[in-house]
Amino acid sequence: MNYSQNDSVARNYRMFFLGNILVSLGILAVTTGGSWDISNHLLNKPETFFSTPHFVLYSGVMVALSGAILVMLNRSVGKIKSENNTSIRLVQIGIALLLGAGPFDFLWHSNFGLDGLLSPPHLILICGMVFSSVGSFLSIMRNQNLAHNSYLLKNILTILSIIPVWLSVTGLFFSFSLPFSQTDYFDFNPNPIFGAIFATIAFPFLISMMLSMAYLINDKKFGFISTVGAALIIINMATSIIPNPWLHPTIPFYLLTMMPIILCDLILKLSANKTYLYFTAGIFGMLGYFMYYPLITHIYNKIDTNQIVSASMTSKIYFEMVLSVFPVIVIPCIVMGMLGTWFCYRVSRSIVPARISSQLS
Amino acid sequence: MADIQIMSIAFPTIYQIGDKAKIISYNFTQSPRYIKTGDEIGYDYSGGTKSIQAQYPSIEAYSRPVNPGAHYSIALKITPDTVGNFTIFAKTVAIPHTSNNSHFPYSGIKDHQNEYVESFSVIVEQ
Repeated sequence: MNYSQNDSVARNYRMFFLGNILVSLGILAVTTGGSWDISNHLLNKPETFFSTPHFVLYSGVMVALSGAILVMLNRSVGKIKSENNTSIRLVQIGIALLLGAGPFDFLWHSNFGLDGLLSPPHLILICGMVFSSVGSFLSIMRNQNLAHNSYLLKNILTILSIIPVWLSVTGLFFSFSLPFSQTDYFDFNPNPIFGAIFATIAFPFLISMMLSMAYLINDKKFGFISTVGAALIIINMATSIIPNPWLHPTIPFYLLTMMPIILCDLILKLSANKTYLYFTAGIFGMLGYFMYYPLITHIYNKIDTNQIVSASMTSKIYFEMVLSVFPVIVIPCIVMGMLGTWFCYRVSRSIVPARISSQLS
Repeated sequence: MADIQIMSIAFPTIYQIGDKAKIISYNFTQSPRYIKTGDEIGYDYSGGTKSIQAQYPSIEAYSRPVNPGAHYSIALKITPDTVGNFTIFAKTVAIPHTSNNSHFPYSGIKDHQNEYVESFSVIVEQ
């Protein structure tokens, strides 16, 4: 009897864990579909609600919903609820927002046709993505002992839980910086100067925070920074660069972004003292301009030469701005990168409190 | 091949389009845009680097991308509401604008954007 009860509780824990993995997988599909949708708009394939990127996006919502149902069904068992109260609530709120955003988005398209990046239904969708992904990330990290403790599996779980958070927050930040939100009916475009300043502050902070998170929650072991960085770069390449044939020659350049990430991973493997941590954080911050190629071109172009960033002109304008824009933003990027790592350290202590030493305090 | 091909039909003798011009049909890949008097628009084939405020309204139909040999058209129903001269300017511009072959017409009258246009006029009688 006792055995069967324990088996049942263990099964509930596994189902709860699986539910969170499905939420993360779903949000990964939603964010990937969303990024592909932006590229689709830029290349101006005729736009309807029933486009392939939208299909990927809303399939992701379905996967996330099925995961959320598993989370809900198993939350009352044992100590699951008390141990994961915040993350369960975040998943609940996130999924509710995601579900509400679908019909709202359909109505918006029906009434106003082509919509911009920042619109009320899109903002609800992105907030739903952020809440859900953060919720599932917290649960996965707190319960990853339920999975086999192999290095490969830990890498997969880290990518699976961090990348949806990273992409969701990236989507939120792009909404407030990219000039893609003017339509015939509404103009939600950010002020170009605000957009550029926001991007300069937000993206380096985010990159540094996410890469440092991958490092800190995995006992500061080698490889996690590299795999998470590589995953983000591959997804961005697949959704933002490959759809535009004019950008294909720049793929080797974009892949070079991996080099400083791997180097930082190696530096931290050799010595993880405070100086090296902040040194690598500064490098992570500097990567903002490069990791978010090609979309970042549209943000800085608005305050630089303000050309029409058409498909074949994107890389030309981007590389011209390396000389004019990058020297101006590099110092704030480094500072924000350091702040991102500092903030990550503060936050990560509450996620896996026992395993993180007071290296940065 | 062009990233974007814009067909512009402008109405230099009126202040606002209102019901005077209606789009009947088009096969451009994007929805046509109504440009109002005072809207900020490109200038001098500059690809966005120079701009000016529109002095009169226009309709811009566009496709992107445009492959060689592609044909696009737009049909308008125009109903002038005052007697006298009614003029229409028409032009097309490819983006990126790389040479004089990136626009049509190549010469003649220039519009408020300092770009060449074909001018068509009718005398409206009561």
